[in-house]
Amino acid sequence: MVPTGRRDEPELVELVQLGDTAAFDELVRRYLDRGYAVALSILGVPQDAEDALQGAFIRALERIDQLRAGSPFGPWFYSVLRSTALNLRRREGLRSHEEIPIGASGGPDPERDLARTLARERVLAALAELPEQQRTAVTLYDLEGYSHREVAEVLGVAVGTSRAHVHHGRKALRDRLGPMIEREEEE
Amino acid sequence: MNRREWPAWLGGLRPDEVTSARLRRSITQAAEPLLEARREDWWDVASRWAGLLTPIAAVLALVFGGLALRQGIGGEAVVATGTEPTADVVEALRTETAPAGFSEFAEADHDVVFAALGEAALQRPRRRRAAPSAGGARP
Repeated sequence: MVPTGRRDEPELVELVQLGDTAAFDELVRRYLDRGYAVALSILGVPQDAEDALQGAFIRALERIDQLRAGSPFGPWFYSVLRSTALNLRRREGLRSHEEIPIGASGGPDPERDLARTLARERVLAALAELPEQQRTAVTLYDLEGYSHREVAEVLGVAVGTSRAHVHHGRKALRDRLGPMIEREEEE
Repeated sequence: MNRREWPAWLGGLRPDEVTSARLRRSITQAAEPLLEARREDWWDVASRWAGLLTPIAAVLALVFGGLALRQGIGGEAVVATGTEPTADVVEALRTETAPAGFSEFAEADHDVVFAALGEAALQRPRRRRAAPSAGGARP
């Protein structure tokens, strides 16, 4: 029997449709950190990102039968996550970053936590200046290495629009973050 | 090919281990009732189908089992032998020979029963016509 951790995603999705807990845990493990980063880049507030991520996983589980057999889970999940995050933002209103302290996780390494907090504040401040679609497009493009077709699928836009979002978004972030953003240009 | 490593500028958005573990736990806990419901749904569907198909399968098994049993005991194909009243008629027809006057209508390889049935069919109108002439039967 193939261990759950090495199964293909379409196979995991089929198992989740039958109620397999281990398969669902594996999908959560694969998409938790990256999903959190995408939610945080959209919402800018860690607590909201956590709520959106949890809501998106539950919503995805409720609607997983809508996913066609053999389709990749990732782009579909990110589109669920994005719509959940946008709904949350509409419902609760956009809170400013200053309302909730960022990075107060109480981890075992305070120095690393501080560095992470500073980096996060800087990136979130730069992302906050971009329109939401550019933010999500750049995050998915850089984080998941998604193609423009996959980014377009998540955003529900044309491939050309996705290309423009990534191009302008990366350019704006390079201006703000400098060398942190790699010079490599999109495909 | 999707990237699996984190780019430097996005590293700050990654959740720390504590947050990651907490989130994972809370998502799994929230998802469990939904997964449980899915498992029940699947089991319900299977049970419903089983409940529906079991009597049909039992009837089919009974019918085919009975047929197989009869064939096994008899050793040959089951042939309808007729009911009690018709058995005598069939037996009588089997032993009956075709009347000489109609033998030219019957082919040589027809069996006796078939010939007798043909004769019976021809006899009916003959009797009706024969009645008024009182014994004027054709040869």
